[in-house]
Amino acid sequence: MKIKITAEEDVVVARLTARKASTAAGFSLLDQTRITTAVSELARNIILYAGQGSMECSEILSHQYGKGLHFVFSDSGPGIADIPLALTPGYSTGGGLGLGLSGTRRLMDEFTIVSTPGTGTTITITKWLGRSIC
Amino acid sequence: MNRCSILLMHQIIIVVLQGDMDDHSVKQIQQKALDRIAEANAPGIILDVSQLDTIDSYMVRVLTDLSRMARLLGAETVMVGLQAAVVMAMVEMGLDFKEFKSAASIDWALEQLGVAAPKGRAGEN
Repeated sequence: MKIKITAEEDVVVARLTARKASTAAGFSLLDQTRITTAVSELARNIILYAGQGSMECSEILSHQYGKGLHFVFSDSGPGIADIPLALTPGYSTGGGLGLGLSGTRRLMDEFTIVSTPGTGTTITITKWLGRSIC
Repeated sequence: MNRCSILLMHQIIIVVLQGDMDDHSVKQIQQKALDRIAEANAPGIILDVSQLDTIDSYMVRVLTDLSRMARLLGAETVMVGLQAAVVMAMVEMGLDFKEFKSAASIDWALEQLGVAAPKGRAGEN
């Protein structure tokens, strides 16, 4: 499913979508919380830095890890000029704590950023059911 | 959408945060709570987050700022009801609520704030 993220309220919708999808997929409560927290951070970043964008959520299957939940966040915003810098804990250009991107990366099993300054950003995150230990 | 309750008990402000609040509502609660602390000259504020199933960096920021501002008004902050899964995700992200203490329940929070607990507390004979 795909949702548009154009206003603050959509960050709440994104969280609810993530919570619902991760529960339906059978993730533990802890993993549901990890996923929902990560989604909240990335959805908010779209509002903060790009003004608008979208989130796609889907269940995927891997030969190696089994079932997983996959999210794609995309926007046509200003893009990230220095990705390693953006991923440094504590670094923020938006007046925040600077832990959203680095934190999300820690919470999820897979994390990819593709960004071109002036064109936009796409962030992909995945959590695998099979890798849960609690 | 402003969904929260702010109560006054034994001169302490108790803020019960409810789930599904957008960023704007959270900010409004921060402002309201601060106003109530000032109005009541409250020496303490209890933040009940037991209904929050997600706490992200924005929430941490707003609540931390609230506690700093409360301290300047002479009020100490105690947080109650952090869910275990929330705590684990927060620590994994590198988030913390260093600014204030946590308590296991509102009763314990009131005790930490030096307020006499009401009689007939659950669990007491």
